[in-house]
Amino acid sequence: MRLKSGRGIALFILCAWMIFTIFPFFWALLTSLKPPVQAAEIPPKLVFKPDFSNYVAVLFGGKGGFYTIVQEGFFKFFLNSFSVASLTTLLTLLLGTMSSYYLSRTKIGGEKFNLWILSFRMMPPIAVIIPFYIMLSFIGLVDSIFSLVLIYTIFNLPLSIWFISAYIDSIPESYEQMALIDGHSRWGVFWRIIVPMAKPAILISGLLVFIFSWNEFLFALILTGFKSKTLPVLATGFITQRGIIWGQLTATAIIITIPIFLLTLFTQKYLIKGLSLGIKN
Amino acid sequence: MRQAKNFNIFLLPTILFFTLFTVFPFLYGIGLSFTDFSLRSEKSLSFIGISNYSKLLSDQLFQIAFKNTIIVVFIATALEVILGFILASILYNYIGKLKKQIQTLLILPMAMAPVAIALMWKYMFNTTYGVINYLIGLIGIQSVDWLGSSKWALISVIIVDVWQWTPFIFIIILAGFESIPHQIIEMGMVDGASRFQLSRLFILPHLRAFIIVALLLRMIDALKLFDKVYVLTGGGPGSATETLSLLGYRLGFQFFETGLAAAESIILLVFIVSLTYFVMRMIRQVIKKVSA
Repeated sequence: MRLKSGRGIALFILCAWMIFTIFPFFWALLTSLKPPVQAAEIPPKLVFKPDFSNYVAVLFGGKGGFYTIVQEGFFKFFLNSFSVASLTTLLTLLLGTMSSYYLSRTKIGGEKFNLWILSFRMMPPIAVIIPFYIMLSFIGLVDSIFSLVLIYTIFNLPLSIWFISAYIDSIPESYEQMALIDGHSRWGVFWRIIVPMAKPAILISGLLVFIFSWNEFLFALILTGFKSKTLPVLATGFITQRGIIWGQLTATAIIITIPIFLLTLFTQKYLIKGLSLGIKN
Repeated sequence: MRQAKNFNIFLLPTILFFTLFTVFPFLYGIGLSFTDFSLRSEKSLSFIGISNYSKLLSDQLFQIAFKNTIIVVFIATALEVILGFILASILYNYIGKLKKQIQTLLILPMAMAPVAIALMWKYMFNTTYGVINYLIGLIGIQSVDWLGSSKWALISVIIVDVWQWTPFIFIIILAGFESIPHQIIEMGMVDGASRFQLSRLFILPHLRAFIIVALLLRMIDALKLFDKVYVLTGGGPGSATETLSLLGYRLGFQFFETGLAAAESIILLVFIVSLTYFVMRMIRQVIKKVSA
């Protein structure tokens, strides 16, 4: 049942938006591959010999006479970002799936629970960051990736619980009843029945949590120092008093987006479900 | 009974976690907002009542940040809902093959780090060698100082926000379109209903819930706008793009007026909660009127 009338203009709008969507990525990629001097040339050159010196400068530091703010080990910061995102995802999924199982089977919460989720969404990060910062400096966790893992987990748990518990609701209880009668513990039932069956929902939440943690900036900006800096914080360092190093900056932006870009391509089906919040009713 | 007790352990860590890391800090933050505490000074803090709040409310910078936040929230959200709806209906009505691929392409911006995106746009917005000025120059429009003039800076921030978050509205509304039962539309067509009648009587009412959810979530997030402004303009020029979240950050971590920053963030929270409540009520009334 596809419409015929107005097809031309509809396709035109869609194509225009697609170009609009892609263009900034395309332009950043193009700039990052130009020799440093050409980044500030007008009119911009569209045909040039690709040059990886920006990437070399960002990834390996200021070798070869390039000025760069990444004096040492880009990979350290990459590893920070990656560890924060993975640890957060694991912790959120563990706590989230356990609580979801409980909430789904005991039916505690109900309507109130939805309100709680929404209220969490409303909480501006800036409202908790100050007390959080003071608490963390008290226990000596400032400039440690664990403080980020803690706070990201908190901000991601509500949505994950909402998502996973809705899925567990649809798993019939009869399976576990039988196992429980057979003498299996709740814990055993959880790992052998619930987790395998709720896999799609767990996967989708995990994906969203990972992306959130990889991209987050405000908490990372305040809570990390030289040791635990993540990539988004590193990237803003290219805006220096001495001016902006556009080639390296765009190269960094591309490097940050590549992992999520690949993730998006390989998991598009799940991701679309997750991003539309699985709203179906 | 033993079974039930064992089962509680599944929820316990989450509850502990939340009390320790949200309820407690939140109450602590409220407490701080009534003091003159500073992260930098050694002197002991003293209780100063509501003077942080009254100081903020009469402060010009705060008022500007407040105004800017409202402008961004309303204009950006409105544009995103309109564009998202148009895109979703195009995809639903006209695209058969390639739908999945187009969908994936369209959602790319929202999956990417706001910082990385803001950096890309900052480069494109550059007055002298930015590609945007170059492109509009080709069709004879004069260069615009996108991020450096108080007239355009806020508009530039809105453009980037619309670019990144229209896909969010789009994908939720598309999910709405796709949940419309086919049979009903086909039956309507057989009965001779026009496309317009179908839209008015069936499709739009069906989509309403989706649009409201998308709009609310988007509005709440826009109220917290931070990273894009931080990277694009840093709140400038002057205070032309100062937002409430950015101001809270600067008060707390650049000026080290911690008590004041705590008060600022509490006002932001109250503002978000009341605006959400207000919008939800408004929507409910509109729905009542329409369906009456």
